Amino acid sequence: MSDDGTAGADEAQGPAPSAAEEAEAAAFAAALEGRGDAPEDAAAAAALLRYSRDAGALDDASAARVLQAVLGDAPASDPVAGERPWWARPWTFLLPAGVGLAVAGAALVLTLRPGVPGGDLPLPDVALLRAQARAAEGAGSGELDEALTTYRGALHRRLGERYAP
Amino acid sequence: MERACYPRGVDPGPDDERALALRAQRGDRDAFAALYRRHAPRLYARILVPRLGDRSAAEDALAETFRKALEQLPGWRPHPEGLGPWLTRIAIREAANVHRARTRTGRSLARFDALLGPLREEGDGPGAALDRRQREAWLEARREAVMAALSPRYRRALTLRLLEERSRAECAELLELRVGTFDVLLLRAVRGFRREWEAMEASPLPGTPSRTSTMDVESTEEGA
Repeated sequence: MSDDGTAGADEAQGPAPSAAEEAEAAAFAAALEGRGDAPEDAAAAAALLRYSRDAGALDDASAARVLQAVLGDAPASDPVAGERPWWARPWTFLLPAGVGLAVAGAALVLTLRPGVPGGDLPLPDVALLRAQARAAEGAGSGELDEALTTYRGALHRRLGERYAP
Repeated sequence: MERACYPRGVDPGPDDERALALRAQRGDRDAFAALYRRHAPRLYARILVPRLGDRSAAEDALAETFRKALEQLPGWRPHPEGLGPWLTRIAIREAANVHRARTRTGRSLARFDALLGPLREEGDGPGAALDRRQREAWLEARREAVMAALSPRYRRALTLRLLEERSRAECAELLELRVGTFDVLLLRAVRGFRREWEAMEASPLPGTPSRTSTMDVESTEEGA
């Protein structure tokens, strides 16, 4: 018997193993335990023998684990939009809600934005416009000067109120 | 729309499969799961395990096969034979990919599909029509015939280590050998098993008459 625990012809059935055969046997034994490579002919035969027990049946637990791995890796964006009832589809509520928010936001902006510059200043009144018309017809500038003075006074007062410190 | 849910083990017919495939194309995961339950056992047992020789690697390849199927399903066009041939092609490619990857990393796998004889998954060969129980029966009969041709010591080593999955130490103890000696015995037994398996004339498939059966002899005599 050799030092590493192998035996001769009778125990292992057949001629005494060579060093190469012992090494192959050790590699094969390790491969059966998931370590390293086995001689290919023996590994294939061992796999066939194991396969013959159940013809490679896929047990329920393994099947479920594989399916979970496949669907778990799939992008979440593709599930079943076309198969859900309308009230369960995300865009059924998200789209109107988005439109509503946009409208509300626009209304808020329009309400709170500053007024048009000069929008609250006094406009020329009818008397000033008539004086301008008459001056244009050659009636003299006295009436127009008086109307302009009145209008400028009102304008300057409003400006003074807006920009007073 | 009606939503059919097929419990595990319930096999939808071809029309149902087409409907399932169309639903799965639209992203229905229940339909995809039903297709998976229908095809995964066949792909695993007949394509991946024989080509990879390792169940763990076959499970990984099965997952990759269905990942690719999920990605490519929108481009699938309905076919009279359903999804089977298409999935089979994906699985075969995936098994080849695994072999290439394992070879690069120095961890090769031992395929044994060439040893399956009439059970090889070659399109519509005689073994393709067999269901799982028929395949199991054929394999068991062939295995027992081969084992009977081996010496009792080889037979016991193979049974203990590869069929009963006992540890090396336990096998060695039961056979009253040192572990190293048992390793040599097992290697010789496995190689003997392979030689006998390859030498043995292919057993008839279930439901097909043997060439040497009594019935055949009688028929020949009658014809003469």
